[in-house]
Amino acid sequence: MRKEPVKDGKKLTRRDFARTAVVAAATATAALTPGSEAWARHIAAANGTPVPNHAGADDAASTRQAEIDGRVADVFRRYGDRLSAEQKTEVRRLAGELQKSLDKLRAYPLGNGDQPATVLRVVPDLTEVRRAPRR
Amino acid sequence: MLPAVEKKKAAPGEDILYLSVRELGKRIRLRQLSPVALAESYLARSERLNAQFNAYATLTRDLALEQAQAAEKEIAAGHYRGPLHGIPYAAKDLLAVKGYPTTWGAKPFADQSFDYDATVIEKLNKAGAVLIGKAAMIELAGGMGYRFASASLTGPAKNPWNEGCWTCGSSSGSGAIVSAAMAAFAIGTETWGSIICPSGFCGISGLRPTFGRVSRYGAMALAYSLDKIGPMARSADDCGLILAVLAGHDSKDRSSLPGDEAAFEYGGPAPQKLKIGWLTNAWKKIDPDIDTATQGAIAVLEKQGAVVEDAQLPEGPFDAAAGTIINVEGAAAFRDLIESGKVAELTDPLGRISGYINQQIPADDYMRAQQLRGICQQKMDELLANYDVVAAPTLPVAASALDANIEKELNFPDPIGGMGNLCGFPAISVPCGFTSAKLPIGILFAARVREDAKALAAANLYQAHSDWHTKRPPIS
Repeated sequence: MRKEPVKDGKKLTRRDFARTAVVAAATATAALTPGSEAWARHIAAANGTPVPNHAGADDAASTRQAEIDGRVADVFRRYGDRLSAEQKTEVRRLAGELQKSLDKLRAYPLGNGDQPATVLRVVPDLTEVRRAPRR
Repeated sequence: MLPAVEKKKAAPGEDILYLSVRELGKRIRLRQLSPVALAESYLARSERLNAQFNAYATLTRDLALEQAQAAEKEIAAGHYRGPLHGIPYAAKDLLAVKGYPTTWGAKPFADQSFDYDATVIEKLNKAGAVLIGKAAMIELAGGMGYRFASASLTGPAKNPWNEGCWTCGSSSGSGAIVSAAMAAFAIGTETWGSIICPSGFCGISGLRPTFGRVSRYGAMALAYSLDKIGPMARSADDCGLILAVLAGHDSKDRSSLPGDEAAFEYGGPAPQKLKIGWLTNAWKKIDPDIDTATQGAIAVLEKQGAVVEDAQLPEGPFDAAAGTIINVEGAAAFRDLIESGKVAELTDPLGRISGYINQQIPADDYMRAQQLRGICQQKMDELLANYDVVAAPTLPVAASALDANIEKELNFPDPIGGMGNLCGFPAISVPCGFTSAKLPIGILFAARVREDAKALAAANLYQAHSDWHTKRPPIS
């Protein structure tokens, strides 16, 4: 049986694993062997937690930048022909701002049992169905 | 033929236009005040002042007079519907009103109209209220982001207390209309700050009700899990009267609370001994005038027997969670606008492009924000359970300059706004003074979910022992 990866004595979640896999694919900077220093650095980067050494900080920054660049590239692929040079610069800035916000979300520890505040009403109230608003 | 008392009524002077809904309603009920004359007076004032403040998107003169005449006839015949019967109001231009444009404040929707009324409009029709017009607003209620007060189809809404200042948004017109007495009350909406901020900047009373208490059917959706509709008026008492009409279950809104939880009965101001948590970490930095005024407001409440203790909002990335949810839901709500490229027709440079980036937010980060929302709800409920209300300055600054870059001038963390909207608990802002520049200052009272009555009770108690809400802006 494959041993689950552990960081700082804490089991890594599937989400950590998936994020790390994405990070690895995006950056392709090092062989990511569970338990290795590179693995720990990538997990820290993915979680937005501080990395103690300079090399680690560089890796975290490059990971973040890869994520930002990926988003910018996708916006340009889909909508680039509509955007001026000035707007493209602004898109890059906004992508950086978005990343800061996502970093904050990701730094907060959440567990499998933390249910999202989304609601499915399995018995919708259909007593007075009317058409959806239309223009 | 109208009774003799009706014939004696003169056209109301402008002083009357500043009266509360409760007082106007009383005079109408006693047939001392004609709903038609009142509507005519508000219409005339609105027609005169609108260009000065950019407060209305559309004036609904014909509808207003038709409704006012119907109210007058009914009341003369002895059929009085309640405290909003014959009272003129404005509705934010994202609420569908049959037969009139509903522009959502945005050029791409300038010619849009609906063939039905929003549920809140239906409710106000049933209560006999008189629609004077559609209030101007920030385009798409700010759903695509904006940097300038000019981000509106109708131009920047100007603050009646100082025309060089903004009203705040996105219920910008609603704030100006109530403040300048262009209607007796207005309906605003809030996803994050859009009732509370204009109420603070404009020196009026504005209530953001518990999420799900007021139906959004027929209202533009910005963020499905955050949008709320609420009253903006001259007093907390008026907000209570209006909420009692607006509230109630509606099967056409999936987030509508069940009947007994959505309904709101308002008994008016009543003496209460309140326990208040004064939030010491609501703002990182507070303008000294605002600090002094809000501390003074708390002292007034203490003098009335309120017990005040320091309280602290929970720590966590809850602002970021609220922002993520708004951005994702907004990008979904306006997907067609973004993908068609019509978003380029928006006024604000930021609004033209931010949707493209918001479409890029990963689904797992949206779910993470929703998980954080659950945690925030639990932590906030634990805090709020210790008090009748928590209180803080509505904002740490007064109204910003009309041409200010909002991203720079109003760029500060807003945990009470972020958490309040993330968790859906009610809050009210009421005026509590002025800065040295004579700009209004507001104090905010927030309560547990479904305890809108407690937020109103605190505000009512304060307004019973202060007169800031009766001050009038220097309009020439």
